[in-house]
Amino acid sequence: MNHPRPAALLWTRQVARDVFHQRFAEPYIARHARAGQFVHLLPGTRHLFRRALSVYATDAKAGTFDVLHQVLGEGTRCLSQLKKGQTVDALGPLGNQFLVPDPGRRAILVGGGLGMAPLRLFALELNQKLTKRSSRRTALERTPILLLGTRTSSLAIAPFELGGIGIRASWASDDGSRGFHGTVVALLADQIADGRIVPEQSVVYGCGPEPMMAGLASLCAQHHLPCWVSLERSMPCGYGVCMGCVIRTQNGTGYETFKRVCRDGPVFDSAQIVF
Amino acid sequence: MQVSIAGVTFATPIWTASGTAGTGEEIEQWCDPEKLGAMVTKSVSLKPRSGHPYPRTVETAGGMLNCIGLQNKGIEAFITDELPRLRRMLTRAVINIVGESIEDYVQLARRLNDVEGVDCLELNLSCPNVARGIDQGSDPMWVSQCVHDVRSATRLPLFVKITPNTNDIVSLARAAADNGADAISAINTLVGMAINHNTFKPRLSNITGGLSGPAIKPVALAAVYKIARAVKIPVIGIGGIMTGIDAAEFLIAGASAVQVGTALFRNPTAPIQIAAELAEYLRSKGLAHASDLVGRVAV
Repeated sequence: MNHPRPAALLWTRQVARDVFHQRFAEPYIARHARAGQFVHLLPGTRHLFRRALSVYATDAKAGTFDVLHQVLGEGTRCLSQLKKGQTVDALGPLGNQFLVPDPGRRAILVGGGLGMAPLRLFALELNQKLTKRSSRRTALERTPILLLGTRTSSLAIAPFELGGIGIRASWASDDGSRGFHGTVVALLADQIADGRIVPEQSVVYGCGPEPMMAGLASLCAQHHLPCWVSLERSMPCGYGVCMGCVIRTQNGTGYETFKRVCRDGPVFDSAQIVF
Repeated sequence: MQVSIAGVTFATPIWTASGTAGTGEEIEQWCDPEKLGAMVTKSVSLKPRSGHPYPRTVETAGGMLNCIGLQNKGIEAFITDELPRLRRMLTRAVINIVGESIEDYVQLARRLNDVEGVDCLELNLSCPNVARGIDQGSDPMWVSQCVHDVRSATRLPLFVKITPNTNDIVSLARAAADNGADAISAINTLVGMAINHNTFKPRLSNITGGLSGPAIKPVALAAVYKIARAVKIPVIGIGGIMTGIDAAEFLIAGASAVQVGTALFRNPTAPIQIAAELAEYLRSKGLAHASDLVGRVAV
């Protein structure tokens, strides 16, 4: 039986304006969290509800997990101001996860802003899982393509530790100050157009703001490119009982019209979602 | 900690509240069912319901608003998919039902009367998020008729969950008690609203929603106190219970058991913790049973 666990803050690093990278010590979450899953942290006793944050990194040996978050309100501000050694009440890991592409397909990771966090963990997982001899994957299949979008270069947060396994991000920025001038979805379209990404040999994994996910889903549908999106919602409970964090699906009008992002997701086949 | 209501024994007076613990599947992973007094299910209707679009919840000062809109599979899928697991769970199953008309409630009660695994029924006569939910539920005549007709349709113990969105909650409780209810569940959520001052838009898709959480605890306590003095059947207290002390206060006000709702959204093990805290409180007061507290308010 699972239960809430105290997670002690090890350190906080500010990586951009209002954006914080934090590492917590909590062995159970460190051991069990997979890319795409999230932790649900209670910022302090004054807060009624937890804050859902994607798992950004884990270290099973050291018993730590990392999150990346932007201060948007009281809860996240409180988290960002935690002192070393202070604990937060943590539930997790919660939700489903990104699944490895079928053989013959390469993972294309498309992140917008902080949406990069779960994709970073997935890139490492892919590298580990697909390097095993039993997986029989080519070097190309083991190395995902990483496309990251930012509004402007000063807000760009580079995922850490990916260089070591040979993954370099291609950047897109809305104002052209870093990499491709345009959205990261436009960058993906560009790379499909010039043949660098072949839809028949690819699977897209996206995480970012909802309008971006909608654009990504629509582009992938045009190219018959399988696409998994990780979605974000305001989540009171995080484990499936409150029915608050729902997303509309293609399933008509009955009970299945809305699915819970926390428990049926947060990762969905984008073709099932109505954005 | 055992309590007995309408001839049914419950391991503890701490139960889950309808709509806050699903139908048991999720809560089983966090709470030992044997330590739950009862699992009160999310409302089930005759036909499946999709519920309202997102956003359905918003955190407010000391509480939250919701407008889920009774998303559920409908009674037939509930009986097939959910009831077998509830039957296996080692806790009492209180099935909460909701209808749009008295006939709906009667049909639901009749259907559940004939299946195994149902310990009690709770009538949701008070959902603020569906058309006519409150209009009907705040009319004592309608409540009388509804409870009367359902009573004739089922042998199951019958709890009636009433609305606080009325100027006279005691009349609603009396209407239920006089027509065969075995207990009154009080209170459901209070109608509320939240507005985004930047966009000028309501924060809920359905514009208004039901307020729950610690913010409504004093309202709920007053309702339980008044109802308990007015009717002879047990009262089940609901409203912002976060701790064992909160639960004790409801028992003192006159509740025979309580339901924990919003606290479950914060902490999936809340009912177990609250039960442990209540047991500790009883020990500290030198009381042997939870029932020793019921209605002890010193006025």
